Amino acid sequence: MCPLPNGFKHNLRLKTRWFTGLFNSHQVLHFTAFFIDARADCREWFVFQEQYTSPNTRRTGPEGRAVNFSIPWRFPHLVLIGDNCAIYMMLPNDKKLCSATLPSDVLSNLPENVLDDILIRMPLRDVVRTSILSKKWRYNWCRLPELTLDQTLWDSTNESIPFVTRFTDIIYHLLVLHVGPITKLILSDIANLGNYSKIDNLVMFLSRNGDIHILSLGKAPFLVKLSLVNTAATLKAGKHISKYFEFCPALEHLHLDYSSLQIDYVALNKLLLPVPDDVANEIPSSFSDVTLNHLRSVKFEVITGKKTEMELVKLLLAKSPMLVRMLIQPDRVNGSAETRLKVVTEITKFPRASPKAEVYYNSGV
Amino acid sequence: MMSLGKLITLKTNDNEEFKLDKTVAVKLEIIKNIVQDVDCTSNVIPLPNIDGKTMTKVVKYWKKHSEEGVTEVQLKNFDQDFLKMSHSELHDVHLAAKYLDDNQLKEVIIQEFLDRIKGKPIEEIREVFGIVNDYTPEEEEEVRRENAWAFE
Repeated sequence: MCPLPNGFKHNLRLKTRWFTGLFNSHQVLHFTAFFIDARADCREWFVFQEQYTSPNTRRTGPEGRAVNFSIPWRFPHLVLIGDNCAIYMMLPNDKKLCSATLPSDVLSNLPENVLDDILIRMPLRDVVRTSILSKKWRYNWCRLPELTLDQTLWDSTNESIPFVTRFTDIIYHLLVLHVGPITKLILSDIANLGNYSKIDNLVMFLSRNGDIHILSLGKAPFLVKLSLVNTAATLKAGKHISKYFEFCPALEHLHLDYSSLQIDYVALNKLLLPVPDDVANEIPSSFSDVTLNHLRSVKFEVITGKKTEMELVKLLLAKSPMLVRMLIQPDRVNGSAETRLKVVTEITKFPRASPKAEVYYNSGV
Repeated sequence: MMSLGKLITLKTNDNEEFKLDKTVAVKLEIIKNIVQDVDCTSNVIPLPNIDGKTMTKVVKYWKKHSEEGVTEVQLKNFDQDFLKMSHSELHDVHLAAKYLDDNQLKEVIIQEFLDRIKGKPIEEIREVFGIVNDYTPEEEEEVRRENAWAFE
């Protein structure tokens, strides 16, 4: 179907008159046959179903033969208006007229969500380049909810500028022009950054935004400090939180504020493998290759004693031989004294890789 | 052999009818839901958002992909051939797949659009899709400056 071309009404009237004269005559069938042949070429035509009355009316064709109009698709270019009138749908000229009103530039006219589906799968650099296609494209890349930042972005930029500057400029540019939520951010290949505190700021900025669902830091061997504050409620972070540890062996400070973070139990559970209660002090095998040799301080906020949270606490205690201090602040608003006691009891049972590790449980009492 | 009672009739907005084996048709969520509600072996399922030409393609795709004993290679070749259509036809099939909630076909179409863009210089994308560059040279220069790192 296509939009009504200008001047259609004129054509309609014209053709109605033209065809009424032929109707019920021998010629109708000739025309029908002709138009059916032409059908392959002509795909745009109108169907006025609301005007298509008496679909089962049997009409008499030549030699008294019944022409069965109950199968209208056999006469695709005929529209019946009322009982005695039919018009031919569209002549080749009409088709041209119609095509002219159809957008010829399919890509630019795709619905935004379809276009986003395509652009999301492209390397970010190529997506940003589409801004030059036409005015319509200038800011198309800015609304993509998923960003993958890796070395393809900064590798080919001017080598004479220090890496950190290039990296910062690109991130700054992306975030300044971006509109709408960022639900997924993958940051990888940032080994060259060294002790670059701005990553932490970036993560903070994104998580404060409140809409990021998946945040993944890959290959960040020198990342030293990481804060996740007020991360979105639906964060399916289980899998990805563990990824931080996998790729950040140099992590020294970890600050997790759970006030609105709900670790997706299923995701984390899958990762931690189901741990039967009687072997609760065993560390899940999926984490056996993770060691956080540099992690010295951890701060958990608003711990409610959920199993996933406890698993994380256990993991960090067991895998951080240099840990000095772990601060745990319970959920003072919702948690009962009983839960808090349960949490403390449980934590004291967890094995610790660091003999110096002190766990502060700040119950606020 | 399938019994005749297992045929489902789909009717497009231009009144073209497609008779489909029920085992093929119920793979589609939307059809499955309708079939559950109504006795569709005797009824016709209307598809008011899809025209006959597009539906012909969709049905062709379904039939091939639900063939018994069809190999990966055969499907790959079929897909390659199947996707040889104009941009607007591709879009029509995507709309149909969306309406029919056929995620696999939707994905195939998106991937094809992607393949037609990916790795191509801007000039070529403009040419392939008939995108008219409506920037003045000055404006174009400004956009290049704005996103300088991407054009290096």
